[in-house]
Amino acid sequence: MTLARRLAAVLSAPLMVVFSMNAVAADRIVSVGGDVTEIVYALGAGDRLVARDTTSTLPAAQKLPDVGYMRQLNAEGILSLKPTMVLATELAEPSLVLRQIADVGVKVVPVSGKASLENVPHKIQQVASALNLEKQGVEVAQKYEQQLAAIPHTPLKTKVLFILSHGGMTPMAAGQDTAADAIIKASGAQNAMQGFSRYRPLSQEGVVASAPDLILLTTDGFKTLGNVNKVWELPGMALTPAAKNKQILVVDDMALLGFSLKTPEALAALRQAAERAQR
Amino acid sequence: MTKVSPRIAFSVLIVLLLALGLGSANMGALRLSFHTLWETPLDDAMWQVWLNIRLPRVLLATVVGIALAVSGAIMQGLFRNPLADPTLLGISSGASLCVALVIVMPMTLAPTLALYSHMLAAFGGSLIISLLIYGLSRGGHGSLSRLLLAGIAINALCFALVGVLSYISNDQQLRQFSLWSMGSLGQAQWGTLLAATSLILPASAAALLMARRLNLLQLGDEEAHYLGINVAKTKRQLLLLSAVLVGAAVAVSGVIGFIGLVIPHLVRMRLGADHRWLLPCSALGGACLLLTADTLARTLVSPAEMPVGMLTSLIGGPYFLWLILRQKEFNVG
Amino acid sequence: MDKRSEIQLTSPALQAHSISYHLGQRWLIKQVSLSLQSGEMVAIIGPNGAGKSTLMRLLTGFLPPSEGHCELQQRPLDEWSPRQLARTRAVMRQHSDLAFAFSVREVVAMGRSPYPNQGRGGEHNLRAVEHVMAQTGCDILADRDYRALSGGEQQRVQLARVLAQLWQPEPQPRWLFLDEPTSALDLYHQQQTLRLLKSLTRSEPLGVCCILHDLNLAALYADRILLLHQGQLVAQGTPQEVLSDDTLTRWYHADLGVMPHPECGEPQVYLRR
Repeated sequence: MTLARRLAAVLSAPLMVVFSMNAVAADRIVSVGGDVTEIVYALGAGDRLVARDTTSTLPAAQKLPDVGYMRQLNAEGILSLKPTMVLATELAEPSLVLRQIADVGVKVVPVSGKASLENVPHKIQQVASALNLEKQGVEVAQKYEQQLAAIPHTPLKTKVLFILSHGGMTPMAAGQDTAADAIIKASGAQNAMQGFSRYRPLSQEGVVASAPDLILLTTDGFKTLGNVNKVWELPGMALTPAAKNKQILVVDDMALLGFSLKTPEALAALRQAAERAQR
Repeated sequence: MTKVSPRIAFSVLIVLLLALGLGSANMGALRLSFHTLWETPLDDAMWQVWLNIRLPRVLLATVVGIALAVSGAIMQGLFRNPLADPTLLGISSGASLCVALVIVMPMTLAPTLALYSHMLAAFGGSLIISLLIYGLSRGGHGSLSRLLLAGIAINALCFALVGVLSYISNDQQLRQFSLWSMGSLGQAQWGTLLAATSLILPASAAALLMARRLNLLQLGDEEAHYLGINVAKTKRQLLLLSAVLVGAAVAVSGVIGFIGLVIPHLVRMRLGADHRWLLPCSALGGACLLLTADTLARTLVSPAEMPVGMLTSLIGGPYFLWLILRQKEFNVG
Repeated sequence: MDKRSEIQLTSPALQAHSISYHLGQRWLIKQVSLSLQSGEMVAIIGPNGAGKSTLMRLLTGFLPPSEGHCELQQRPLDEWSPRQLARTRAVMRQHSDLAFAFSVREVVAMGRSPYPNQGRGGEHNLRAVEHVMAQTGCDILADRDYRALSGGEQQRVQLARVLAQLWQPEPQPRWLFLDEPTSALDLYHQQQTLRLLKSLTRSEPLGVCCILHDLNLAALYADRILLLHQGQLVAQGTPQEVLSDDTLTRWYHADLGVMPHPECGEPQVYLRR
């Protein structure tokens, strides 16, 4: 194994030259991770991308070849695009594959995978410095922070229930330790569901007892349910204050749960809805 | 089904394997054929990719194909049942459970360990179940029914526990696990290839040496005893070999189904049941099938790749069904 | 001393010395002593549940006796290596199912597994297989799938296999055990098989011990009969001695009579209506 690596190092030395020469000639960047891709486009570097992964659902990126799901990458696929750099979220797997790519001499830049609002500027900075776009990076980060700051944080009494729904699955409610919980807290509202971590299936009693004032759903989740009436038909929903006042908000998945650049918008929308729904 | 001469079949399979191997080495996401390599000898990057990424992968497909097919043949011979396959005793379920644990449970590992965490977990799971099975086999007097029941219980338990882990996992973990369980040769590299080969080739060779005894077991435990073989010991050894083969294969490539069940079955249909030919021809057949499936897996949706286990089932399933329907005799295998 | 006793003293034997066998609380075989010479044909008879198959398993070394021991050619059975034993004694059981499609020739050839397959050995193995298939009338079945054969044909193939197991270019003392070898055979093949076995005991140093259900066949072909009842050997001797009216009625409880065979005089049993 060590021998192979040494061999790889020796063989890749002249190769580094080959690749860095390419970098001057034409940048070929592969972006892995929806949030990373989004940042690249926000920095205005979308034209330097040659490929992206499946989780990069940004419309502008759809025309680029798809190297696969970010947690099941394969080395040859990415290398077939002759990249000069791979920007990969830390959540990308398998790490072996990324190591293989690095061994060939391609620059692999890890981008933080921590899911929190505060981490987004850090991600922006990591991507920006890799792309030599520090100035633009600072601008985008500032814009993000301004957007966030503009959202009032004062505590609201509104109780928000986030429903996770996928096709063929019973809808679940978000408890603590979820991205949804973090977003709800960030908006100043309260998570209607307390006392459990992760997700739990909706139960009639649980929903009624939690008495949410506002129902929160992602676009994809809402699609699987069909229409608004289906939401009120879920267990216990009909008896909630949210149902009585028809308080429901649907937000884009990536924006709401992905801790991306669009998150401040989603957060603002949530704040407004929560203020409206406050009794 | 017309029978083919085993010698001819063996030769054909060898040639086929070599052809497929060369073909696979020539095909991939990167437009990199032998032709290209000779044309541009100064392009170190290309050579690197071919040498360190594509070649190990082609070899791994061969070796894992051998492991799964031989293990399936052993299981079918041991249990005297053409429907037996390597997953019968729960070894791959144990591996799945450990991988699910590693994916879902938060744990911080040393960087080098983290790279191989799934492989080590899968191997660890296989090892634990193998030891359990081996221990159980020592207790009995060569009767496999206890083991069979234990295998059913192990499979059920692991399935349930994996279910629990899936329930508490988040979307990405769930997706990652389900992709693992569909099998992939995407992490092939020289280190893991050599580790797997060092287990798979000796175990396969040992199985070939036991072919005659496997034949005798077909007559029945008592009959085999009267013919002079130590039935209980032979069965234990065969179990162990099968466990090693499955454990190594699952560790490096996840769960690739279908090869262990269908290849020995197909070979038996055409060549007869003599394990002295059945085992080597199954080995070659398994390697050919997996090579083909993996080449397709990494070229059909290039630059992404499909899980190879999905492809082996997609290719093999309908073909197998067609074969069964074509068979006029009622006998299976 | 009569000829029979001479044979008993001089020819090699498989002997059981007061063997007993229990399974849990039950004693299946109680204190059985017997001697099987090579060159004689012995039939074991007895009502159902007498322990005939268990006794055979003890004599062949598949089960270790709880008490007593068995000797083959003056050596205790457990001192024989499996391969040596396989070359000296063979066992044919009633049913043999195969899960996979082996040809008849392949099944018979499996009988040669205790013998090396290279050089002279290989030639001998081929000769053995051809020879026994001809003897048992399996040569016409040679390339057929074993599983596609009738019960009777399968029994003949198994017989060929065990004969192949014992075949040697220079005949040595060997023993053949058969558990109901004629159960699925039609009249013709019953007669052929038993005639074959009897002639082998005369022409070679082969000792045959078969469990037979049919008392009349036992009487016609066996040199000696052993009558087993609830694990005990209650009678042994020539057919004349064992197959008597009182003995049979006592152990079988059936209403039967015995009369001499019109041609050879051996006792033949008939059921009263």
